[in-house]
Order: sequence, then C-alpha cells, then structure tokens
Amino acid sequence: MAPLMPSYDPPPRGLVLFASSEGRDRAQRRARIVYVLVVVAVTLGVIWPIYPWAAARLPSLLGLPPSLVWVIAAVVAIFFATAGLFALDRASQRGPGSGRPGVERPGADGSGASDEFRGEA
Amino acid sequence: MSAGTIALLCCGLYLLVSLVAGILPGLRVSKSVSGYVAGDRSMNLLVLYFVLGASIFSSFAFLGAPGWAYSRGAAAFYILGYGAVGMVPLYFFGPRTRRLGQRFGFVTQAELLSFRFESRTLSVLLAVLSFIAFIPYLTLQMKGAGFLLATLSDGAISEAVGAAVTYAVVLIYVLSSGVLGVGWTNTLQGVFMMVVAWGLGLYLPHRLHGGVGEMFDSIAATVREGAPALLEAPGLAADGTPWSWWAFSSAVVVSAFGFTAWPHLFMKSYAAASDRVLRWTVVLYPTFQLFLVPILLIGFAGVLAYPGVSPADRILPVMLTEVELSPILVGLVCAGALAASMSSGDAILHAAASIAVRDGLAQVAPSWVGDDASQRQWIRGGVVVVAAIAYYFAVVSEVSIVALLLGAYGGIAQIFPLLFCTFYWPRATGKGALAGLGGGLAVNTFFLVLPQLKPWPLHEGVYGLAANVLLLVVVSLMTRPGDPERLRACTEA
Repeated sequence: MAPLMPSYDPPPRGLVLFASSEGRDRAQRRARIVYVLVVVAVTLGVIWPIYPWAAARLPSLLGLPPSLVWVIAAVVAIFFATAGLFALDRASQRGPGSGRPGVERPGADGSGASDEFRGEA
Repeated sequence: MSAGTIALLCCGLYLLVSLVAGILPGLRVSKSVSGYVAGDRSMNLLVLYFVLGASIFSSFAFLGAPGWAYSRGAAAFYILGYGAVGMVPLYFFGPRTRRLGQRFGFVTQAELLSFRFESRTLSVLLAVLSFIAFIPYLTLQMKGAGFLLATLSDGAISEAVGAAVTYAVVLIYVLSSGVLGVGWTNTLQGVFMMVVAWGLGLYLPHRLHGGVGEMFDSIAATVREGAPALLEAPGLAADGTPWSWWAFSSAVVVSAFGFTAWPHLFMKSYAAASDRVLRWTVVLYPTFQLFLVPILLIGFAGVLAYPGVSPADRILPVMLTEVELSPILVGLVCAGALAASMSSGDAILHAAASIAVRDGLAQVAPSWVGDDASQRQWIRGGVVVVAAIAYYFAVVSEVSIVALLLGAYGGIAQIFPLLFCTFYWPRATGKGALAGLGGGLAVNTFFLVLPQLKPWPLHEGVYGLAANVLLLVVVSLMTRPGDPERLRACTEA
C-alpha cells in the first residue's frame, strides 16, 4: 500500500524520506533502509576505530597487506550491496504495477510520467 | 629512430585518436544548450560509466597516487576508503535530478538548487564556488600533461608546449561536441587508463621484486629494522611522521560527502538516457574504483628500489626511465597518464564554462546571454576563456595553486547538505540554504588558513559541515517555507 503523501503547505518539519515513486513500495522502503545501514557500516569500517581493529586481525591476501585488503573488501561490499538494491528495485518495478516482466511502471523509468503515476497511487 | 621519439610518436598517435573520437559524436547532437551541456539526455551505460569513472581519476591517479603510496604508504588507502562510499548518494539523488532536469530543462547543479531554494544569489554563489574549485583542478591537469611530455622528450618539448598541444586537442573536441565529445573520449581514455594501470601495476612489482607478495614482504622486513610503519594504516603524514587517525578518518568522511557534490560529476545525471542507466553506473562504479589498486602498487614498487625520489610525484617517471622498458611500452604508459589528465580536464573545462554562463552570467545579466542558440555560443566562448585562465596559471603564473585545490575539496563538500535537503527536507528554506552554505564555506576557509586554531586535528571540511548543518536547520526553522509546488516537485521527484 502506498504511504500517505504529505501536504507541503505548510511542509512537514521532519525529513520526508520515501515520497518519490520508488519509495512507496514497502519492499523497496525496507531494502533502502537495510542498504543505508550497510553503507554506514562500511563507512565506519574504513575509519577509526574499526579500521585499525580489523586490519590488525586480518591475514595477508594474495600478498597484499591487511590494511589494503580491508579497504578493497569495503569497495567489494558496496558493489554487492548496491547491485542487490538495484536488483530489488528492478524486481519491484516489474512486479505488481505492470503484470508483465520487463515492463516498468510509469515514472520509474524517468519517462516524465511520474505525475500520472502519482494520481494512480 | 631513438627510444624517446618512438614513445613520443605513441603519445602523438593517442592524441590523434582522441581528437577523432571527440569530434565525431558532435555530428549527431542537437545545436542546443541541452545538446551541448547534457548531450540531449542520451548517454548510454558504456559512456556514462567511463565519463564518471575517468572524470574522477585525473592526473593525480597516475602521478599523485603512486607518489602517495611511495612516500606515505597506507595513508594512500584513504582514497579507496572514501571512493567506496562516495558514489552511493548518486544512486538516490541522480534519478531524481535527471527527472527534474527533463521536466524543467535544468542542465547544471545550481539550476536545480536555485529552483528548489528560490534563490538567484545561491546560483551565483555556487557558480563562484565551482569556478574557484575548477580553475586549480584544471591547472593541475595541464601541468601534469606538460610535465609528462617534457619528461618523455628529455626537455626537447617544454612543459608549456606539452600542455598547449594536449589541451589544444581537448579544446577542439570540447568546442565541437560538448559533453558527448567528453563522453566518447572518456570512454576511450578510460579503457586505456585501466589497461595501462593494471598492466604496469602488476608488471613493475614482478620485475623489481619478483611479485606483489615479495614486494610487500620486503617493505615489511625493512619496517622491522626501524623504518616508519609504511604498510600500517593510517600511514605517514607528508613530513614522514605517522599520520593521525583523526586526520585520516576526517579526510575520508569529508571526501565521501564531497564526492558526488562535485558539480562536473553531479551534472552528468542530466546526461543519462534513463534512471536505469544512471543506477547501473553507480552499481558498476566500484569496478572502476579498483583500478587504484595497481596504481598504488606502482608507488609501492619504488619504495625500496628507488629510495629518495623527491618530489614523490616523480616516482612513476623515474621508474619508467630507470627500468629498461620497450619505448613503445613507455609511450603507452605516458599516453595512459595523458588520458587521465585529459579525461578529467575536458569534463572540468566543459562544466566550468557551462556553470559560469548558466549559473553566473545568465543570472546576473540575462539580457546579455539571450536565447538558447546565443547561450550555446556563450558557453563555447567560456570554454576558451576557462582554458586560457588555467593555462596562464599552469605555465606563466608563479602563484601556488595546490593550497587552493586542497581548500576546494572542503568547500565542495559544503554543497552536500543542500542536495540532501532538496530531496528529503521540504522545510529547508532559501535563507537557510544560503546561511548554511555561506557559513560552512567561511568556517572551512577559516580553518584552512589558520589550521593552528582547530580545536582538534580534523579536516577543516568537518568544521565547515557542522556549521553548515547547524545554520541550515536553525535559519530554515526561523524563516518562511518555500513554494509548496516546488517542494512537492523536488520531494516527490
């Protein structure tokens, strides 16, 4: 079910995180929250105190020092996390809206039809 | 034919191919501002992937990054650290920006922000900030190109002539094709850079040390004999003493915030053919980011083999001349480094002129700029002016621009809170945005100029961001909210 859209006159005092066309699907909202948590964890992982703690416990890999292995792992982790979010987004766009695999919902493909989609939501 | 001449011919051939690759796309783009600045919003995945990747990796990638690894060891890993997460915001901001650009005709970052915050002053302030950040950035790219050709020719080609020849090529394809010229040359240059970096990054450790593992074992063994801990994070400071975790961590955070806020990168969102292309690019970006690994290996390969090289940025040219490589290989490596310089330089040149005209001149004196066709001519004229200014600083002026560039990173990061509020905080107001950006820039600059007054040894951008967010929130809550329809358009885009 689509969340209730806020009024902007006056605008809400807090953050409005899921008002775009992609943010209205519950599965997409959940996926975004998990993804942002992963990104925050990776960011904290490449700064003090987690980075030195982890690098001190890692072995060398392919001859690379642990401190380098750890930041490469951070890059790889972001790649898989973003790819996962992208796959979920694609699946959500193909799903209930169109009923046909491979067909995106209006507005989700950037066709400029987001206003029309909003009316249906 | 001498080895140097063969290597120079390789570079010449590369410049010729770049010129053709840059001119051809201009034949099929419309003669409008949207065509020149946003490529008629038609960039596919291949081009956008290389535009974003190759624009980010500049001369610094081939000269600065090996120099950092060589002289500061694990400190260089901070580049990988912030790069890992730096592109993530574009996954969320990018498609919304693209849709709004399509709907309202935006082609620059400041156009989006000045629309959302209903402020021409903000547009002009962003244009000035971008310009101040871009000129030293472009100057360094020109210096890098001139330095490479002068080194390769053993001084027969001066740095001034080397920079002039390289950037004449850039100027021609940027003038004729706009962003599509940038896009297709960056694709060529990006592939070239990656092949050269991986090839050389794996070859040099093998040639000089017997392999990557053996190289790091040798460096670690030297460390045990009393040398500084080169391979342990956070590595070394510029003076050779251990770098502090405060400085390392805050540099990662500020750079991560500033990453997608760079106007020349952000405005490529408008050029994407679809949201899917834009998001695919963000997904695939880490594969480009990993190209830094062999670049760092090149620097580490020189630590024990060629100690005492100063300045450290010279380590790659020194290795190329000391290690007996085939002249064709030397030429290809130098062409790869030229590609890194040009792929950033062209994007910056194009963005700086577009921003100066659309966000600066068109806001201050709209009657001068005129209609769409006239604007396009103004932007092309701007490209020549920006190139001339950067060239002046690169080869004529004695003014140090490195400090200006270092300060620019903290300054650009101050745009991030405004971008976030554009999409996620409708209560943010124009006055709040101006106060936040102005305050953040002032604090950032203050601690950049007077670092001894910092309460903690953090990157000055952190203090700027703290002041920025505080002012943005407080002033916004104290002032009248903006037009509800604009807020809806941005928040629900």
